[in-house]
Amino acid sequence: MMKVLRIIFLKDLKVSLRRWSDLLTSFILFVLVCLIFPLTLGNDPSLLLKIIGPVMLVAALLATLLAMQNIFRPDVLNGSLEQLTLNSYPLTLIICTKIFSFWVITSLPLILISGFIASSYYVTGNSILIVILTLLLSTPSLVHISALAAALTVAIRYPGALMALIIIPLSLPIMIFGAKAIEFSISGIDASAPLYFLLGMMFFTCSLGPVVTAAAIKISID
Amino acid sequence: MPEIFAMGGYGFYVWGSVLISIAVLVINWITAHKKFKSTINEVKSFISKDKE
Amino acid sequence: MNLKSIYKLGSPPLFYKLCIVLEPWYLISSILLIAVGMYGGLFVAPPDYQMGDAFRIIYFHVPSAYVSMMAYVFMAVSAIIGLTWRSNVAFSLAKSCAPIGASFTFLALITGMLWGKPMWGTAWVWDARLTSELILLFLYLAYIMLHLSIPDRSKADRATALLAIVGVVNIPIIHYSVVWWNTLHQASTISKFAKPSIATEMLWPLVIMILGYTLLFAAFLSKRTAAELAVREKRTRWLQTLIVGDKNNA
Repeated sequence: MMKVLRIIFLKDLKVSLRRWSDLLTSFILFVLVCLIFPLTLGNDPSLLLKIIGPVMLVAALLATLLAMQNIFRPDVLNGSLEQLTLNSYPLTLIICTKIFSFWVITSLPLILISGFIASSYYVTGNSILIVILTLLLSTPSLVHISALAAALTVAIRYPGALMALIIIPLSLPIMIFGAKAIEFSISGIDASAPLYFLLGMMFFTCSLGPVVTAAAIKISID
Repeated sequence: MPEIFAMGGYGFYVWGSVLISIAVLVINWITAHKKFKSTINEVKSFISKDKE
Repeated sequence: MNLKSIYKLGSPPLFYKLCIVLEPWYLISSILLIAVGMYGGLFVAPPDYQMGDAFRIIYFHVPSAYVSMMAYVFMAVSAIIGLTWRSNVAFSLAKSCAPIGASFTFLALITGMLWGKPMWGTAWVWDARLTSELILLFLYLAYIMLHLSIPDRSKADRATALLAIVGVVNIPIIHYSVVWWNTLHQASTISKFAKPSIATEMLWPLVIMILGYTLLFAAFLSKRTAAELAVREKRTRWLQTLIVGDKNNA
Protein backbone atom coordinates (compact mmCIF):
# COMPACT_ATOMS: atom_id res chain seq x y z
CA MET A 1 0.00 0.00 0.00
CA MET A 2 2.59 2.55 1.07
CA LYS A 3 4.67 1.52 -1.90
CA VAL A 4 1.86 2.29 -4.33
CA LEU A 5 1.24 5.66 -2.74
CA ARG A 6 4.94 6.46 -2.89
CA ILE A 7 5.04 5.55 -6.57
CA ILE A 8 2.06 7.81 -7.28
CA PHE A 9 3.64 10.60 -5.27
CA LEU A 10 6.95 10.37 -7.10
CA LYS A 11 5.24 10.01 -10.48
CA ASP A 12 3.20 13.16 -9.88
CA LEU A 13 6.29 15.05 -8.77
CA LYS A 14 8.13 13.92 -11.88
CA VAL A 15 5.31 14.71 -14.28
CA SER A 16 4.74 18.14 -12.83
CA LEU A 17 8.44 18.90 -12.87
CA ARG A 18 8.42 18.03 -16.53
CA ARG A 19 5.66 20.61 -17.00
CA TRP A 20 7.79 23.06 -15.07
CA SER A 21 6.65 26.06 -17.12
CA ASP A 22 3.12 25.78 -15.62
CA LEU A 23 4.52 25.73 -12.12
CA LEU A 24 6.88 28.58 -12.81
CA THR A 25 3.96 30.61 -14.13
CA SER A 26 2.00 30.25 -10.94
CA PHE A 27 5.07 31.04 -8.87
CA ILE A 28 5.72 34.15 -10.93
CA LEU A 29 2.07 35.13 -10.57
CA PHE A 30 2.49 35.02 -6.78
CA VAL A 31 5.56 37.25 -6.89
CA LEU A 32 3.99 39.65 -9.39
CA VAL A 33 0.77 40.09 -7.41
CA CYS A 34 2.87 40.84 -4.35
CA LEU A 35 4.91 43.33 -6.42
CA ILE A 36 1.98 45.28 -7.86
CA PHE A 37 0.96 46.81 -4.54
CA PRO A 38 4.24 48.45 -3.48
CA LEU A 39 4.69 49.70 -7.06
CA THR A 40 1.24 51.22 -7.34
CA LEU A 41 0.69 52.38 -3.75
CA GLY A 42 4.13 53.85 -3.24
CA ASN A 43 6.58 52.65 -0.62
CA ASP A 44 4.95 54.00 2.50
CA PRO A 45 5.87 51.40 5.18
CA SER A 46 2.78 51.89 7.35
CA LEU A 47 0.47 51.36 4.36
CA LEU A 48 2.37 48.29 3.16
CA LEU A 49 2.36 46.78 6.64
CA LYS A 50 -1.40 47.21 6.70
CA ILE A 51 -2.05 45.41 3.41
CA ILE A 52 0.54 42.63 3.47
CA GLY A 53 -1.81 40.06 5.07
CA PRO A 54 -4.59 40.22 2.46
CA VAL A 55 -2.09 40.64 -0.38
CA MET A 56 -0.14 37.53 0.65
CA LEU A 57 -3.28 35.41 0.91
CA VAL A 58 -4.89 36.66 -2.30
CA ALA A 59 -1.63 36.02 -4.16
CA ALA A 60 -1.41 32.52 -2.68
CA LEU A 61 -5.05 31.84 -3.63
CA LEU A 62 -4.51 32.98 -7.22
CA ALA A 63 -1.32 30.99 -7.58
CA THR A 64 -2.99 27.87 -6.18
CA LEU A 65 -5.97 28.35 -8.46
CA LEU A 66 -3.77 28.66 -11.51
CA ALA A 67 -1.61 25.68 -10.64
CA MET A 68 -4.43 23.38 -9.59
CA GLN A 69 -6.50 23.76 -12.75
CA ASN A 70 -4.63 20.83 -14.21
CA ILE A 71 -4.33 18.50 -11.25
CA PHE A 72 -6.79 15.89 -12.53
CA ARG A 73 -7.54 16.87 -16.12
CA PRO A 74 -4.57 15.21 -17.91
CA ASP A 75 -5.02 12.01 -15.88
CA VAL A 76 -8.73 11.91 -16.71
CA LEU A 77 -8.11 12.49 -20.40
CA ASN A 78 -5.46 9.79 -20.78
CA GLY A 79 -7.47 7.36 -18.68
CA SER A 80 -4.90 6.75 -15.96
CA LEU A 81 -7.23 8.06 -13.26
CA GLU A 82 -9.86 5.58 -14.37
CA GLN A 83 -7.29 2.80 -13.99
CA LEU A 84 -6.59 4.02 -10.47
CA THR A 85 -10.27 3.85 -9.54
CA LEU A 86 -10.49 0.28 -10.84
CA ASN A 87 -7.82 -1.22 -8.61
CA SER A 88 -8.36 -2.21 -5.02
CA TYR A 89 -6.63 0.73 -3.39
CA PRO A 90 -8.95 3.33 -1.85
CA LEU A 91 -9.32 6.29 -4.19
CA THR A 92 -9.37 8.70 -1.25
CA LEU A 93 -5.79 7.82 -0.29
CA ILE A 94 -4.64 8.12 -3.88
CA ILE A 95 -6.27 11.55 -4.17
CA CYS A 96 -4.67 12.51 -0.86
CA THR A 97 -1.24 11.58 -2.22
CA LYS A 98 -1.85 13.49 -5.43
CA ILE A 99 -2.92 16.60 -3.55
CA PHE A 100 0.07 16.34 -1.24
CA SER A 101 2.49 16.12 -4.15
CA PHE A 102 0.83 19.15 -5.73
CA TRP A 103 1.12 21.01 -2.44
CA VAL A 104 4.82 20.24 -2.32
CA ILE A 105 5.34 21.49 -5.85
CA THR A 106 3.10 24.55 -5.89
CA SER A 107 2.89 25.81 -2.32
CA LEU A 108 6.28 25.08 -0.80
CA PRO A 109 8.09 27.54 -3.13
CA LEU A 110 5.56 30.22 -2.20
CA ILE A 111 6.13 29.58 1.49
CA LEU A 112 9.89 29.69 1.02
CA ILE A 113 9.84 33.01 -0.78
CA SER A 114 7.13 34.61 1.39
CA GLY A 115 9.74 35.51 4.01
CA PHE A 116 11.67 37.63 1.50
CA ILE A 117 8.51 39.28 0.20
CA ALA A 118 7.45 40.04 3.76
CA SER A 119 10.76 41.72 4.49
CA SER A 120 10.37 43.79 1.31
CA TYR A 121 7.05 44.95 2.79
CA TYR A 122 9.07 46.23 5.82
CA VAL A 123 7.94 43.38 8.08
CA THR A 124 10.59 42.73 10.72
CA GLY A 125 11.53 40.23 13.41
CA ASN A 126 9.06 37.62 14.61
CA SER A 127 6.34 38.75 12.26
CA ILE A 128 8.23 37.30 9.29
CA LEU A 129 7.99 33.92 10.96
CA ILE A 130 4.28 34.46 11.54
CA VAL A 131 3.81 35.30 7.84
CA ILE A 132 5.56 32.07 6.87
CA LEU A 133 3.60 30.09 9.45
CA THR A 134 0.31 31.58 8.24
CA LEU A 135 1.03 30.52 4.67
CA LEU A 136 2.20 27.12 5.90
CA LEU A 137 -1.12 26.59 7.70
CA SER A 138 -3.44 28.12 5.10
CA THR A 139 -2.05 26.71 1.84
CA PRO A 140 -3.05 23.08 2.62
CA SER A 141 -6.67 24.19 3.03
CA LEU A 142 -6.49 26.28 -0.14
CA VAL A 143 -4.99 23.36 -2.06
CA HIS A 144 -7.71 20.98 -0.85
CA ILE A 145 -10.50 23.39 -1.75
CA SER A 146 -8.96 23.99 -5.17
CA ALA A 147 -8.61 20.25 -5.70
CA LEU A 148 -12.30 19.82 -4.98
CA ALA A 149 -13.19 22.57 -7.44
CA ALA A 150 -10.86 21.03 -10.03
CA ALA A 151 -12.49 17.63 -9.56
CA LEU A 152 -15.98 19.11 -9.93
CA THR A 153 -15.06 20.98 -13.11
CA VAL A 154 -12.89 18.26 -14.62
CA ALA A 155 -15.28 17.78 -17.55
CA ILE A 156 -15.15 21.45 -18.52
CA ARG A 157 -12.67 22.70 -21.08
CA TYR A 158 -11.69 26.04 -19.56
CA PRO A 159 -12.55 25.71 -15.89
CA GLY A 160 -10.60 28.71 -14.57
CA ALA A 161 -13.35 31.26 -14.00
CA LEU A 162 -15.83 28.72 -12.69
CA MET A 163 -13.19 27.34 -10.32
CA ALA A 164 -12.63 30.84 -8.98
CA LEU A 165 -16.36 31.23 -8.43
CA ILE A 166 -16.40 27.99 -6.44
CA ILE A 167 -13.15 28.46 -4.54
CA ILE A 168 -13.35 32.07 -3.37
CA PRO A 169 -16.56 31.83 -1.28
CA LEU A 170 -15.45 28.53 0.24
CA SER A 171 -11.98 29.75 1.16
CA LEU A 172 -13.19 33.03 2.65
CA PRO A 173 -12.77 31.91 6.30
CA ILE A 174 -9.15 30.97 5.61
CA MET A 175 -8.50 34.33 3.95
CA ILE A 176 -10.09 36.24 6.84
CA PHE A 177 -8.25 34.43 9.60
CA GLY A 178 -4.96 34.30 7.70
CA ALA A 179 -5.06 38.06 7.16
CA LYS A 180 -5.99 38.52 10.83
CA ALA A 181 -3.04 36.44 12.00
CA ILE A 182 -0.56 38.53 10.00
CA GLU A 183 -2.23 41.79 11.03
CA PHE A 184 -2.18 40.79 14.72
CA SER A 185 1.47 39.86 14.75
CA ILE A 186 2.48 43.07 12.97
CA SER A 187 0.55 45.25 15.40
CA GLY A 188 2.06 43.35 18.32
CA ILE A 189 -0.98 41.36 19.44
CA ASP A 190 -0.78 37.65 20.20
CA ALA A 191 -1.62 35.94 16.89
CA SER A 192 -2.19 32.45 18.26
CA ALA A 193 -6.01 32.54 18.13
CA PRO A 194 -6.34 32.97 14.34
CA LEU A 195 -3.44 30.55 13.86
CA TYR A 196 -5.28 27.92 15.90
CA PHE A 197 -8.33 28.52 13.71
CA LEU A 198 -6.21 28.03 10.58
CA LEU A 199 -4.81 24.83 12.09
CA GLY A 200 -8.33 23.60 12.77
CA MET A 201 -9.43 24.44 9.24
CA MET A 202 -6.36 22.64 7.92
CA PHE A 203 -7.29 19.44 9.79
CA PHE A 204 -10.91 19.84 8.69
CA THR A 205 -10.13 20.24 4.99
CA CYS A 206 -7.34 17.66 4.98
CA SER A 207 -9.56 15.00 6.54
CA LEU A 208 -12.81 15.64 4.65
CA GLY A 209 -11.48 17.25 1.46
CA PRO A 210 -10.00 14.11 -0.16
CA VAL A 211 -13.20 12.14 0.57
CA VAL A 212 -15.38 14.68 -1.24
CA THR A 213 -12.83 15.11 -4.02
CA ALA A 214 -12.71 11.35 -4.55
CA ALA A 215 -16.51 11.30 -4.76
CA ALA A 216 -16.39 14.10 -7.34
CA ILE A 217 -13.79 12.21 -9.38
CA LYS A 218 -15.89 9.06 -9.30
CA ILE A 219 -18.88 11.06 -10.58
CA SER A 220 -16.99 12.54 -13.49
CA ILE A 221 -15.40 9.26 -14.53
CA ASP A 222 -18.30 6.83 -14.70
CA MET B 1 -53.20 59.63 2.53
CA PRO B 2 -50.04 61.58 1.60
CA GLU B 3 -48.44 60.83 4.96
CA ILE B 4 -48.80 57.11 4.22
CA PHE B 5 -46.73 57.58 1.07
CA ALA B 6 -44.24 59.79 2.87
CA MET B 7 -43.61 57.13 5.56
CA GLY B 8 -42.10 59.73 7.87
CA GLY B 9 -39.56 60.78 5.27
CA TYR B 10 -38.52 57.20 4.47
CA GLY B 11 -41.10 56.79 1.68
CA PHE B 12 -38.54 56.19 -1.05
CA TYR B 13 -36.84 53.38 0.85
CA VAL B 14 -39.99 51.69 2.15
CA TRP B 15 -41.98 51.86 -1.08
CA GLY B 16 -38.85 51.13 -3.08
CA SER B 17 -38.34 47.85 -1.28
CA VAL B 18 -42.06 47.04 -1.58
CA LEU B 19 -41.97 47.60 -5.33
CA ILE B 20 -38.71 45.74 -5.86
CA SER B 21 -39.93 42.79 -3.82
CA ILE B 22 -43.18 42.57 -5.75
CA ALA B 23 -41.38 43.00 -9.10
CA VAL B 24 -38.82 40.27 -8.39
CA LEU B 25 -41.45 37.86 -7.11
CA VAL B 26 -43.71 38.44 -10.11
CA ILE B 27 -40.81 38.03 -12.53
CA ASN B 28 -39.91 34.85 -10.69
CA TRP B 29 -43.40 33.49 -11.19
CA ILE B 30 -43.47 34.50 -14.85
CA THR B 31 -40.17 32.79 -15.62
CA ALA B 32 -41.28 29.62 -13.80
CA HIS B 33 -44.54 29.66 -15.73
CA LYS B 34 -42.81 30.28 -19.06
CA LYS B 35 -40.39 27.46 -18.39
CA PHE B 36 -43.27 25.12 -17.61
CA LYS B 37 -45.18 26.13 -20.75
CA SER B 38 -42.15 25.74 -23.00
CA THR B 39 -41.32 22.30 -21.62
CA ILE B 40 -44.89 21.16 -22.16
CA ASN B 41 -44.66 22.36 -25.76
CA GLU B 42 -41.31 20.62 -26.10
CA VAL B 43 -42.77 17.35 -24.88
CA LYS B 44 -45.73 17.77 -27.25
CA SER B 45 -43.49 18.27 -30.25
CA PHE B 46 -41.43 15.31 -29.07
CA ILE B 47 -44.57 13.16 -29.00
CA SER B 48 -45.70 14.20 -32.48
CA LYS B 49 -42.22 13.52 -33.81
CA ASP B 50 -42.32 10.14 -32.12
CA LYS B 51 -45.57 9.21 -33.86
CA GLU B 52 -44.32 9.96 -37.34
CA MET C 1 -46.71 8.29 7.31
CA ASN C 2 -44.93 4.98 6.86
CA LEU C 3 -41.79 4.35 4.88
CA LYS C 4 -43.71 3.10 1.87
CA SER C 5 -45.49 6.40 1.29
CA ILE C 6 -42.16 8.22 1.44
CA TYR C 7 -40.79 5.89 -1.22
CA LYS C 8 -43.88 6.59 -3.32
CA LEU C 9 -43.02 10.31 -3.27
CA GLY C 10 -39.84 9.45 -5.11
CA SER C 11 -41.77 8.24 -8.14
CA PRO C 12 -41.80 10.91 -10.85
CA PRO C 13 -45.47 10.48 -11.99
CA LEU C 14 -46.83 10.90 -8.47
CA PHE C 15 -44.56 13.82 -7.67
CA TYR C 16 -45.35 15.53 -10.96
CA LYS C 17 -49.09 15.27 -10.34
CA LEU C 18 -48.59 16.47 -6.76
CA CYS C 19 -46.71 19.54 -8.00
CA ILE C 20 -49.38 20.37 -10.56
CA VAL C 21 -52.20 19.95 -8.04
CA LEU C 22 -50.56 21.79 -5.14
CA GLU C 23 -49.04 24.71 -7.04
CA PRO C 24 -52.21 26.89 -7.38
CA TRP C 25 -53.09 26.32 -3.71
CA TYR C 26 -49.62 27.38 -2.61
CA LEU C 27 -49.81 30.40 -4.89
CA ILE C 28 -53.27 31.57 -3.76
CA SER C 29 -52.63 31.08 -0.06
CA SER C 30 -49.27 32.82 -0.26
CA ILE C 31 -50.74 35.80 -2.14
CA LEU C 32 -53.46 36.10 0.52
CA LEU C 33 -50.95 35.86 3.36
CA ILE C 34 -48.58 38.37 1.77
CA ALA C 35 -51.45 40.79 1.17
CA VAL C 36 -52.54 40.55 4.80
CA GLY C 37 -48.94 40.78 6.00
CA MET C 38 -48.27 43.82 3.83
CA TYR C 39 -51.39 45.56 5.08
CA GLY C 40 -50.41 44.79 8.67
CA GLY C 41 -46.82 45.75 8.17
CA LEU C 42 -47.29 48.92 6.16
CA PHE C 43 -50.43 50.38 7.74
CA VAL C 44 -51.32 48.72 11.06
CA ALA C 45 -47.98 48.29 12.81
CA PRO C 46 -46.89 51.42 14.71
CA PRO C 47 -43.63 53.08 13.64
CA ASP C 48 -40.53 52.01 15.55
CA TYR C 49 -39.50 54.49 18.24
CA GLN C 50 -35.90 54.49 16.99
CA MET C 51 -36.07 53.87 13.27
CA GLY C 52 -39.43 55.46 12.52
CA ASP C 53 -41.20 54.13 9.46
CA ALA C 54 -38.01 52.81 7.87
CA PHE C 55 -38.28 49.71 10.05
CA ARG C 56 -41.20 48.58 7.85
CA ILE C 57 -38.62 47.28 5.38
CA ILE C 58 -38.17 44.45 7.89
CA TYR C 59 -41.39 42.91 6.52
CA PHE C 60 -39.65 42.41 3.16
CA HIS C 61 -36.04 41.98 4.20
CA VAL C 62 -36.37 39.29 6.89
CA PRO C 63 -38.73 36.95 4.99
CA SER C 64 -36.59 36.97 1.86
CA ALA C 65 -33.40 36.45 3.89
CA TYR C 66 -35.11 33.58 5.72
CA VAL C 67 -36.30 31.94 2.49
CA SER C 68 -32.89 32.41 0.84
CA MET C 69 -31.21 30.40 3.59
CA MET C 70 -33.99 27.84 3.88
CA ALA C 71 -33.81 27.27 0.12
CA TYR C 72 -30.10 26.48 0.32
CA VAL C 73 -30.62 23.99 3.13
CA PHE C 74 -33.53 22.47 1.21
CA MET C 75 -31.33 22.24 -1.88
CA ALA C 76 -28.57 20.50 0.07
CA VAL C 77 -31.00 18.03 1.66
CA SER C 78 -32.46 17.20 -1.76
CA ALA C 79 -28.92 16.82 -3.04
CA ILE C 80 -28.10 14.32 -0.29
CA ILE C 81 -31.29 12.35 -1.01
CA GLY C 82 -30.52 12.47 -4.72
CA LEU C 83 -26.97 11.20 -4.23
CA THR C 84 -28.05 8.35 -1.94
CA TRP C 85 -30.97 7.07 -3.99
CA ARG C 86 -30.06 8.45 -7.42
CA SER C 87 -33.53 9.94 -7.46
CA ASN C 88 -34.56 12.08 -10.40
CA VAL C 89 -37.21 13.78 -8.28
CA ALA C 90 -34.68 14.90 -5.68
CA PHE C 91 -32.26 16.15 -8.34
CA SER C 92 -35.03 18.11 -10.08
CA LEU C 93 -35.98 19.67 -6.74
CA ALA C 94 -32.38 20.64 -6.01
CA LYS C 95 -31.85 22.09 -9.46
CA SER C 96 -35.10 24.10 -9.29
CA CYS C 97 -34.19 25.49 -5.86
CA ALA C 98 -31.11 27.33 -7.12
CA PRO C 99 -32.57 30.11 -9.30
CA ILE C 100 -35.43 30.74 -6.85
CA GLY C 101 -33.08 30.85 -3.90
CA ALA C 102 -30.74 33.16 -5.79
CA SER C 103 -33.58 35.58 -6.54
CA PHE C 104 -34.66 35.64 -2.88
CA THR C 105 -31.03 36.25 -1.88
CA PHE C 106 -30.91 39.13 -4.33
CA LEU C 107 -34.10 40.55 -2.78
CA ALA C 108 -32.66 40.26 0.73
CA LEU C 109 -29.55 42.14 -0.42
CA ILE C 110 -31.47 44.91 -2.17
CA THR C 111 -33.94 45.47 0.68
CA GLY C 112 -31.07 45.31 3.17
CA MET C 113 -29.28 48.04 1.24
CA LEU C 114 -32.47 50.11 1.01
CA TRP C 115 -32.78 49.74 4.78
CA GLY C 116 -29.14 50.51 5.37
CA LYS C 117 -29.11 53.72 3.35
CA PRO C 118 -31.27 55.79 5.79
CA MET C 119 -30.05 53.91 8.90
CA TRP C 120 -26.29 53.88 8.35
CA GLY C 121 -26.00 56.71 5.84
CA THR C 122 -24.59 54.42 3.16
CA ALA C 123 -26.11 51.42 1.46
CA TRP C 124 -23.23 49.10 2.24
CA VAL C 125 -21.16 48.97 5.42
CA TRP C 126 -19.76 45.43 5.23
CA ASP C 127 -22.10 44.39 7.98
CA ALA C 128 -21.72 40.70 8.80
CA ARG C 129 -25.14 39.41 7.86
CA LEU C 130 -25.46 41.31 4.60
CA THR C 131 -21.96 40.14 3.67
CA SER C 132 -22.91 36.53 4.39
CA GLU C 133 -25.98 37.04 2.22
CA LEU C 134 -23.72 38.23 -0.60
CA ILE C 135 -21.53 35.14 -0.20
CA LEU C 136 -24.70 33.03 -0.30
CA LEU C 137 -25.55 34.66 -3.63
CA PHE C 138 -22.15 33.63 -4.97
CA LEU C 139 -22.66 30.07 -3.70
CA TYR C 140 -25.97 29.94 -5.60
CA LEU C 141 -24.31 31.36 -8.72
CA ALA C 142 -21.52 28.78 -8.51
CA TYR C 143 -24.14 26.04 -8.30
CA ILE C 144 -26.07 27.39 -11.29
CA MET C 145 -22.95 27.95 -13.40
CA LEU C 146 -21.58 24.49 -12.61
CA HIS C 147 -24.88 22.90 -13.59
CA LEU C 148 -24.94 24.89 -16.83
CA SER C 149 -21.41 24.03 -17.85
CA ILE C 150 -21.46 20.24 -17.43
CA PRO C 151 -23.16 18.86 -20.55
CA ASP C 152 -24.01 15.40 -19.19
CA ARG C 153 -27.13 15.88 -17.05
CA SER C 154 -26.62 13.00 -14.65
CA LYS C 155 -23.00 14.03 -14.00
CA ALA C 156 -24.05 17.65 -13.60
CA ASP C 157 -26.71 16.61 -11.08
CA ARG C 158 -24.28 14.69 -8.93
CA ALA C 159 -21.39 17.15 -9.16
CA THR C 160 -23.61 20.08 -8.19
CA ALA C 161 -25.10 17.98 -5.40
CA LEU C 162 -21.61 17.64 -3.92
CA LEU C 163 -21.12 21.38 -4.25
CA ALA C 164 -24.41 22.07 -2.48
CA ILE C 165 -23.44 19.77 0.40
CA VAL C 166 -19.99 21.34 0.75
CA GLY C 167 -21.63 24.77 0.63
CA VAL C 168 -24.12 23.99 3.36
CA VAL C 169 -21.32 22.73 5.62
CA ASN C 170 -19.37 25.90 4.90
CA ILE C 171 -22.16 28.46 5.38
CA PRO C 172 -21.98 28.49 9.20
CA ILE C 173 -18.17 28.67 9.11
CA ILE C 174 -18.27 31.54 6.62
CA HIS C 175 -20.99 33.30 8.61
CA TYR C 176 -19.17 33.12 11.93
CA SER C 177 -15.84 34.12 10.47
CA VAL C 178 -17.51 37.17 8.94
CA VAL C 179 -19.25 37.94 12.24
CA TRP C 180 -16.02 37.57 14.15
CA TRP C 181 -14.33 39.88 11.71
CA ASN C 182 -16.79 42.73 11.91
CA THR C 183 -20.36 43.42 12.93
CA LEU C 184 -22.73 46.35 13.00
CA HIS C 185 -26.06 44.64 12.42
CA GLN C 186 -28.75 44.80 15.08
CA ALA C 187 -29.32 41.63 17.07
CA SER C 188 -31.78 39.07 15.82
CA THR C 189 -35.33 40.27 16.40
CA ILE C 190 -37.49 37.21 16.06
CA SER C 191 -35.62 34.22 17.48
CA LYS C 192 -36.22 35.36 21.07
CA PHE C 193 -39.77 34.06 21.37
CA ALA C 194 -39.44 33.65 25.12
CA LYS C 195 -39.23 37.38 25.65
CA PRO C 196 -40.20 39.08 22.40
CA SER C 197 -38.21 42.22 21.87
CA ILE C 198 -40.81 43.66 19.49
CA ALA C 199 -44.47 44.46 20.11
CA THR C 200 -47.18 42.00 19.05
CA GLU C 201 -48.73 44.33 16.50
CA MET C 202 -45.28 44.56 14.93
CA LEU C 203 -44.61 40.82 15.22
CA TRP C 204 -47.69 39.22 13.66
CA PRO C 205 -47.30 40.80 10.20
CA LEU C 206 -43.71 39.58 10.19
CA VAL C 207 -44.70 36.00 11.00
CA ILE C 208 -47.42 36.13 8.33
CA MET C 209 -45.00 37.54 5.76
CA ILE C 210 -42.49 34.77 6.51
CA LEU C 211 -45.22 32.17 6.10
CA GLY C 212 -46.38 33.79 2.87
CA TYR C 213 -42.88 33.93 1.43
CA THR C 214 -42.29 30.28 2.35
CA LEU C 215 -45.50 29.24 0.58
CA LEU C 216 -44.57 31.38 -2.41
CA PHE C 217 -41.23 29.56 -2.52
CA ALA C 218 -43.14 26.28 -2.46
CA ALA C 219 -45.31 27.48 -5.36
CA PHE C 220 -42.33 28.51 -7.52
CA LEU C 221 -40.54 25.32 -6.60
CA SER C 222 -43.43 23.04 -7.60
CA LYS C 223 -43.85 24.86 -10.92
CA ARG C 224 -40.16 24.61 -11.77
CA THR C 225 -39.82 21.04 -10.51
CA ALA C 226 -42.79 19.97 -12.62
CA ALA C 227 -41.15 21.53 -15.68
CA GLU C 228 -37.80 19.91 -14.86
CA LEU C 229 -39.41 16.51 -14.35
CA ALA C 230 -41.29 16.85 -17.64
CA VAL C 231 -38.03 17.46 -19.50
CA ARG C 232 -36.37 14.49 -17.89
CA GLU C 233 -39.26 12.08 -18.34
CA LYS C 234 -40.37 13.10 -21.82
CA ARG C 235 -39.77 9.61 -23.15
CA THR C 236 -42.06 7.95 -20.62
CA ARG C 237 -45.59 6.87 -21.34
CA TRP C 238 -47.17 8.36 -18.22
CA LEU C 239 -46.11 11.88 -19.06
CA GLN C 240 -47.11 11.60 -22.70
CA THR C 241 -50.59 10.35 -21.81
CA LEU C 242 -50.91 13.07 -19.18
CA ILE C 243 -50.03 15.83 -21.63
CA VAL C 244 -51.92 14.48 -24.62
CA GLY C 245 -54.88 13.98 -22.31
CA ASP C 246 -54.62 17.65 -21.39
CA LYS C 247 -54.77 18.56 -25.05
CA ASN C 248 -57.84 16.41 -25.64
CA ASN C 249 -59.67 18.07 -22.79
CA ALA C 250 -58.87 21.53 -24.04
